[in-house]
Amino acid sequence: MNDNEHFERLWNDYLEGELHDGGIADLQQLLASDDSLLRAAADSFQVHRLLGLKAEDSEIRHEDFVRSTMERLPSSETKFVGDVVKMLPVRRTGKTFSHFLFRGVVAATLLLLLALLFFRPSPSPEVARVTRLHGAVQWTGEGGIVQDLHKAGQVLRGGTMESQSADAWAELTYRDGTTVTVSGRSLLTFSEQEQKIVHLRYGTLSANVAPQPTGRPMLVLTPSAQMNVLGTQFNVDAQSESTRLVVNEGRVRLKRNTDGKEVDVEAQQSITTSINKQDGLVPVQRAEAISGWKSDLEADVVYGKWVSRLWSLGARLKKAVAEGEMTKAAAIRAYKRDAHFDDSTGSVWAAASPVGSLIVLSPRRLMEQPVLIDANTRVVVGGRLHSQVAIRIGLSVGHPDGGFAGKYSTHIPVSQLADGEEFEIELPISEFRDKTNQDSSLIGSELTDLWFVAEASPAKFEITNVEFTDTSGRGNP
Amino acid sequence: MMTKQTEQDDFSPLDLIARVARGETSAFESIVRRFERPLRAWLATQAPPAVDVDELAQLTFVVVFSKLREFEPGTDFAAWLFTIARFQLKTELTRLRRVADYHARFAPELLQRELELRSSESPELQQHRLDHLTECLESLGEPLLRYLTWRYEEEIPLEEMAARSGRSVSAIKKQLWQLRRKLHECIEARMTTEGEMS
Repeated sequence: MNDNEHFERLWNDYLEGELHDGGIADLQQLLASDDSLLRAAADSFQVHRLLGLKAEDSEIRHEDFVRSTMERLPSSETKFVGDVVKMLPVRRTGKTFSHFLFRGVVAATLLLLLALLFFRPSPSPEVARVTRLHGAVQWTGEGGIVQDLHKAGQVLRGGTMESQSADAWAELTYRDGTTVTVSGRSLLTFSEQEQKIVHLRYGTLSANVAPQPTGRPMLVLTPSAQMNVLGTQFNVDAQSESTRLVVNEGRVRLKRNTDGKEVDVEAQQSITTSINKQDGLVPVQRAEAISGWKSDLEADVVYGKWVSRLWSLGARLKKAVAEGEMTKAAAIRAYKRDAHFDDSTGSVWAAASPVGSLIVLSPRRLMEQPVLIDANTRVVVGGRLHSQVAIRIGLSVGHPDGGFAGKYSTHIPVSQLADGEEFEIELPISEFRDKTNQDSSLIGSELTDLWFVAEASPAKFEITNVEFTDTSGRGNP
Repeated sequence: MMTKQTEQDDFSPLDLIARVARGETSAFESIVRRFERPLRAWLATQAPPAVDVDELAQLTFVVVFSKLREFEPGTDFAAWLFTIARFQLKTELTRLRRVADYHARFAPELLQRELELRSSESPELQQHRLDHLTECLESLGEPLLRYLTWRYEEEIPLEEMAARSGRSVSAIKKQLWQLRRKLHECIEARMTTEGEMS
């Protein structure tokens, strides 16, 4: 066995945690004898760490990290106590009456603070009740106990609800009649003590809020904004960096987290705010609905991976270099020559999710105009399969006057889809059915998002085109 | 379309700092969200084994929070944050050196030194490498990708991987070694191309 092979064996054992003490010494000796081995070890170690980081990356982990980091920050109470302690006089030789009086006041203040910290009012027994739900919905309540929710009726006392799949949704009803519906992949934490507080970590929420007591508005918090609601109907889409609010009735005051800037969003207006942008915070008026729509895949992707045509070209060239079909220099020249391609063309690849390989697209990320679904709507989908799997195509829809209207889907069997080949499917809207209510109809509703799921996580497929056409001839471009 | 770099350039922490200074601790959350991923990517690739990357990242944010008043307006906030992270890492490495049998048990000392040398690279590069890694993984075929899924996502033992694929454990180890090397080459090629095109 030569040094390289010996190193490779030791290094693999090391990364797998199987190297004994003597092995570490051997490895150290090899690394000391050859700089190229040391560099190879460091390269391999860094890729190993990046692979580990990527594998554990998820919105939930991201949220956990942010939450636990925020919990570790010195609290304002601690800071205040610290400031008070700093006010204590420096050690003196003679203790005066005022000195003892001052220390007494400080001690009393600290006791009062401790009392405020530890003797808070206990939470009310019931915050909300699950009134409707469908699909994979998980609940984490008191004591951190996680349970799957299967049917309506459960009483909830504050906690976290996770709607895990694209076709899942759940409706919560508060004691005052306020309803909050989460839809698709969403993570929501809620409580009610002095006021209703809803923290939408990510996902889609639709709320119909009963009039709230004066001075105690309902608070809706997202990673990038805070909304004060007195009583109204509105929809919120939240991602880790942006929030879109659509107000259908009443008025919502939105505050941008990055700079604290506030704006009132009136009925029939919408606004999008992002932690990346500091520009104007101006609501826009609701636009006329359109019935024809072609997806801008890159802008519309909510879940899945956008891959540009230019990237694909790079991958092909790299493969050609790796297989000895061309030199690296020739590949770089070819890449530069063709880099003027419009990089906005490409496809969206399915990404793994708890319920299978998934793509979610939403017209609301780019367009102000709602997409209206009528009886003549036909859904055209183009794509390519890289596994032999069936696909379910689904639509999430809302009422034109606001609120969640349901999820409708249709099954595309394996027989219609060939592995490795492109496909184009045209579906009349009547093909889409609500699994929870076969008699309901989505005619007259507006498209919130659409999804494609293959119920096998390793299944690979890509979507290259999505269009909604209106065969009545009154569609828009 | 706005690039990632441009988006980052738009980030202005001054308002956030002012709000935190007024006692609004929650405003700091935007800073944590903004830098969490690049910071963890940087720490993961610079810290030797047995260093808790999440712990170090959180400690960095706590120090950044308590030193916010010392940030000089007009200077690069990201650079300032990573300077604090670098100091935190250095402190941790100093502590590890003082642990008598750390190198005998966890890390060849030369590896740690090589990583320390690399830590002078721009921290943003590791986030770029992570982005390129995602793309490089997609260029691997399904048969190869499954080894990485088993190893890193499902974390199944090598023996189980060997049984599933009908190969020996040592062949699996070799396969993983080759895959990591291939991914490293892919990432660096993409970094070079990106550098040439920018």
